[in-house]
Amino acid sequence: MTILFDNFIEVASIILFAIGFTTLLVHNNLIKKIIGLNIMDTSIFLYFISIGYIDGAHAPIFTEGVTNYVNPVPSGLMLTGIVVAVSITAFALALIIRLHSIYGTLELDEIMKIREDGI
Amino acid sequence: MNIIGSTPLLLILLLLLSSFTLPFLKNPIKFSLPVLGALTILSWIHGLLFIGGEEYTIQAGHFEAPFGIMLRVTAVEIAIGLLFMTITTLVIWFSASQFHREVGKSQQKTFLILVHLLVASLLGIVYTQDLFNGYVFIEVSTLAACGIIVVKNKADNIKAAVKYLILSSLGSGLILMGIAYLYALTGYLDMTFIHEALIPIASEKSRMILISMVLFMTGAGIKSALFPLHIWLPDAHTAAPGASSALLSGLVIKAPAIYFLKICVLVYGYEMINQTAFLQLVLLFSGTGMIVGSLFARSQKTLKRMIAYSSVAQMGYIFFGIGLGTPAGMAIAVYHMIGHGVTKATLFLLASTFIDKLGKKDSASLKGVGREMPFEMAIFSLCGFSMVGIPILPGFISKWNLALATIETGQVWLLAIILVSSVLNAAYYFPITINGFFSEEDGIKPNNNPVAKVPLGILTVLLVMIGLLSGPILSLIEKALI
Amino acid sequence: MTIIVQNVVRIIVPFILIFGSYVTVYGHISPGGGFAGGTILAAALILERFTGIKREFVFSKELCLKGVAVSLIGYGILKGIAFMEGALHIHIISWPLGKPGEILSAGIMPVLNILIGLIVMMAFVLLFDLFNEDHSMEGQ
Repeated sequence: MTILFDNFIEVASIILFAIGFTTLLVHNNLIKKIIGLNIMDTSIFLYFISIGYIDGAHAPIFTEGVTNYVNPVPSGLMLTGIVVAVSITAFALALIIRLHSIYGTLELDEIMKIREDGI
Repeated sequence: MNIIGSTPLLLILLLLLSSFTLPFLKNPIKFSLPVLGALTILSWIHGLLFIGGEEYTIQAGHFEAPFGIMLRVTAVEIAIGLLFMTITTLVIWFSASQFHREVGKSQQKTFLILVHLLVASLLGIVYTQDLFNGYVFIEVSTLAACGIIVVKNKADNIKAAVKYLILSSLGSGLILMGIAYLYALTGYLDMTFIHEALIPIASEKSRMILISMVLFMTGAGIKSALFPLHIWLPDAHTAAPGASSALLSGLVIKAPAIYFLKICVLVYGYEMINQTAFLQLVLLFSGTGMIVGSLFARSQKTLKRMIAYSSVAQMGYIFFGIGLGTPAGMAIAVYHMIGHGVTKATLFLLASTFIDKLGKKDSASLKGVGREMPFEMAIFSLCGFSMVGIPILPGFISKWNLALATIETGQVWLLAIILVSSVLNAAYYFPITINGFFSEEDGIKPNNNPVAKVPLGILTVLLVMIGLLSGPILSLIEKALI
Repeated sequence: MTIIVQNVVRIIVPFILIFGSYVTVYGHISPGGGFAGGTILAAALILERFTGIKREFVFSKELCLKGVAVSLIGYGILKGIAFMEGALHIHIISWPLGKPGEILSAGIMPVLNILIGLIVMMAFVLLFDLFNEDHSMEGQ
């Protein structure tokens, strides 16, 4: 139990991952699925950045007289990850706009029903 | 190391730069095809000079690993890199004459920009030695692959691309979580450094290592169509235009599999993956996929959908080879990637030719087509024979060596899966060949649009050569994987 | 949008643009850099488009696409030379190393940051223009 409290950031990120994954699976609205995908990606960024944190160390900007810095490598890597997540969100939203203009609705079960009735 | 040795880095850079210059040109195909051809010839020169030699690494920039990114060049990467470049050039050559009939001339510039980005990112996945660099290139390849599906603007394409995008980014999220676990354990991102740092702590942190292995398998499995995670593949590969289907099924689903293979061999090593129950999981999923994929393919009416389900079954072979956990198994997985890449690209190009000339999409309309279009039907039959396992062709070599590797590991009952799936493969390829050549014509006359026969001929010659030269190729690959 | 909103935005947008340029150019000595600075610059331009302010010089779709392509070619050539030099272990261009805390010191890093800032800004403005078109009457 103390392990869970010591690594509370990792526990929080796994719970967020589960919330995002459930949102992706359960909701019918396509925009909510994209929101769930974003929550999942954000939880992984949180996990990665928390690896680099050291208690009591300073921010990784060069100042006089400071020798212990937080590890800046995970933050730099996750910057790339954030850009990737933004690109995928933008592309998915563009495709959803096009789907809305074809079918007139954003709910997935209505789209499946229209496709079964045969367009 | 001279300038020819650093060809992989040069290839990626030149492909990216040529992709960025394409928006300014009026006639993009006149620039893109010579560039792709020249880079393919350059990669063949590099491949023939270096494939027998020893492995080396290229460093990008003046920093060595673990502070910088290194590219790794061995026989495995050279072979798969040659496959990617050659297939892309031949597919673009084929589609240059046919693209405007299916999609429209205005979209050709977008298509070519995306294809250049796609090939650059696939080469990056193959050659890299850094985990996070591979993840970034996987993301670029996902976006480019979704792009080449929606070049054709119909409702089927948009729906298939949304499904592919969402499932694929779920897979990338899982891969990134696996990378996060490994980084938390060791503090390195370079594959060889992680391996050295994992060996001392392998016994006390075995549960965390197992979790990261399963995360990698699930993430790479979603993107490479491992059995229960393959549901995006039939829609995406059926709806896409002909050249896009060939690129998707031949190249894009191979790259995450080679990334997974490199992780299993370089990051974990043969002892670590054989100690856990992880390989049993891979064998279970891939074995089920080999049989279920063929069963689904049998019941499809549309020609392209049948070929797409056949891709699911063949990716099962590749993961089966990885799941055996020996150097022989991994070498067979790489060889099957090469053989299947060429075969599936040819099949999809032929399918798009048939649909273009006959105007219908189902496989029942191919009755008697062999009299009007004998060249295409003969190549289709040859590819079908390779899939089933007729000797000399690459499919037979893969199945034979896979059976030998299975017997070597001692799990002889897995041979039954290979035999059953070979028989099932025949059940859907042979009817098309027999109907094509021997039954009455259906009354549909093909229209006489010219088809590019030269790329199809070169692909067939490549197919037969891969089968004939299989001995040297397999021994070179296996030497690099020990 | 009403005239009050338009006038307030007209006053605010130059300050946001200056702040975005500061974050971009100081990227090598303080947090920020290309991505963050480019996003702030794009936010300013999209704010203008939301409130309906019309300008003479407009980042149209073609200009954005060509601008992104040119900046990407520039970035690719600079990075490509650096990578190939490392791969072949030759030193043609002497990249100056930086002095910590000074702005004009870190070799080509400020140039790369400015290029990335331009790319991100023009990409976001292009995406907003594409989303803002009226697609409601298109069929299959």
